[in-house]
Amino acid sequence: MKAGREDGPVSPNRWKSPVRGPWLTSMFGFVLLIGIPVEFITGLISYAAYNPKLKGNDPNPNHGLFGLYLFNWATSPAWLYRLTEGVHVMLGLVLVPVVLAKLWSVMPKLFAWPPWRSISQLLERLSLVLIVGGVVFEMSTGILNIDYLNPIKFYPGHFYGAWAFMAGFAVHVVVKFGDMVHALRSRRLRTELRTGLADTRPEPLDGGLVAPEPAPPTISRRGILALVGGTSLAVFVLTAGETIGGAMRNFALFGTHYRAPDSGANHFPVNKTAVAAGITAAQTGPDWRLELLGPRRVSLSRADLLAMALTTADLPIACTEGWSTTQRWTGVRLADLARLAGAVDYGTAELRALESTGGATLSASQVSASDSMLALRVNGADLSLDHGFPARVIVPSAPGTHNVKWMSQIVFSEPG
Amino acid sequence: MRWFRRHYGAGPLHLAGLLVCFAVAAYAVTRVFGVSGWKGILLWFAVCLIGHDLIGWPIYTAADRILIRTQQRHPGRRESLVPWVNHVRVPVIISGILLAMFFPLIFRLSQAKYTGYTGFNENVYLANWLAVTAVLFATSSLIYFLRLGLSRRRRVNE
Repeated sequence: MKAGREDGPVSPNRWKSPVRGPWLTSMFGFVLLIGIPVEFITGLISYAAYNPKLKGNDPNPNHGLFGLYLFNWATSPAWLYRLTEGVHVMLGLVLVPVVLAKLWSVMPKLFAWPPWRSISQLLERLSLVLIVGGVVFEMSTGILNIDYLNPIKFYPGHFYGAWAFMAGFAVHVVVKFGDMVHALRSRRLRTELRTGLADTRPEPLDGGLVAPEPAPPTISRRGILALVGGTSLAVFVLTAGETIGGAMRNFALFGTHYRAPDSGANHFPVNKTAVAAGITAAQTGPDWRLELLGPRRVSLSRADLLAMALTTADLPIACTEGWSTTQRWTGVRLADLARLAGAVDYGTAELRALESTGGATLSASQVSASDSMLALRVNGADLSLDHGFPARVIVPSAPGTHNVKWMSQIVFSEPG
Repeated sequence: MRWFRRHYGAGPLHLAGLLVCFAVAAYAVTRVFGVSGWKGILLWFAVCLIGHDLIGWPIYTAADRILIRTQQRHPGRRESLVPWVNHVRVPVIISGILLAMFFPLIFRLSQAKYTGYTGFNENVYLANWLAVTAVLFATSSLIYFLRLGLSRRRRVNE
């Protein structure tokens, strides 16, 4: 079989799949048309949740115009970040098989010959660089980040990569939407789901995706849909328990936080151990003090803090990597600490930790939220060292890294 | 307008949309230039661009061709019966995608960071992956033999 010169490097007759075709491609495209915008929006939300405008919070300080949308992150409902980030990571993982299926389904187009027939087609194909490169880039950076293997800087890569990808995605959707609707209407899903291998025939020739000389089918269209959907389901079952929790957590065999150290009250997953953070026993012993810096300077021992009015709330720790866990925390309201430091009105609060790289700045609304607290106890027992003993901050709906552990100092600023 | 269409191949909105798209992408690249590891980021994008189309896809396509050829040579003890090719494809694909997604955990490539962030080690993931793979193959072959039994019974009844 020799490719003719007009056919280019790969003759159309080399494509043998009898099930490739616009309908199948459009089925995958339709799923991604819904899934990818959800990924983009939850991703933008995740960045906004860092409150990047506050001191030290911004992982992408040179965001430029891409930061125009940023808004003051919410503190209610408490599970909001847990939900948006859980969806972002778990949906992203579940979409991997769909993306791979979509890429497989359009491979003949990559080798279409001649490469372009008009300037418009040339530009359109160039924009595919952004989609194909972009989707693989976004998936790989996201997945490697939750696998704790970072060949490149995750935050800027994943964030700016998302904008480049979405630019290509938006054009692709506008250009191809009509084709997708047309292709989806060309066959009935219900009929396809009733069609087994014996009755599987190629879609009508479209001069692109459908093979002119197809091989006999080895899988039906419903078989491919089941395979892709089944793979997504397998990925879901083996990871999503990390954020759904309960019995599902035991099935998250490829999640990083399906196991929990300790037992009893502190038996829930840890993000960064005391050893890894370089926290020593001497730092957390009886000499430990929490310093409040505001109009007044106050130094408090753990006993002083426990003697204050305590509040208890069920709040999640929700990590940027997607896993989360809700526990019952007891501690002193941040608002009470602000008043103790002499703050008349709520401004931002800079959190500093014993860990040199730990810390974050909370917004005024986070400081004043009634459930925001400096937690001393969890589920009725003292915090374990890995969970931030002597004291850690818990803020409703904040990203996990803002729930700073092993606190040492809080700097309260006046509003404005 | 007709002149534009003849030379460009589509309407002016098409051109405008694509120019906006390239402008946004170019702006994203200028943002990346401000990051200390910008070379790595751009290189990674290039690797992703060719990674699927020129590395991943040729490999899995070749593997699938071999599988189909094997099935054609050994269609089963008697013709008809039940084709087995998808009973291999399904567990291989699911297990392969899990491997592609979680190989850093499975092959313990991020052990130090993982231990620091979780308090555990990664030794368990290879066993998890092998166990999931074994369950997939076992289920797939079980279904295959059930189908084989059903089709034999059907033949006897005919």
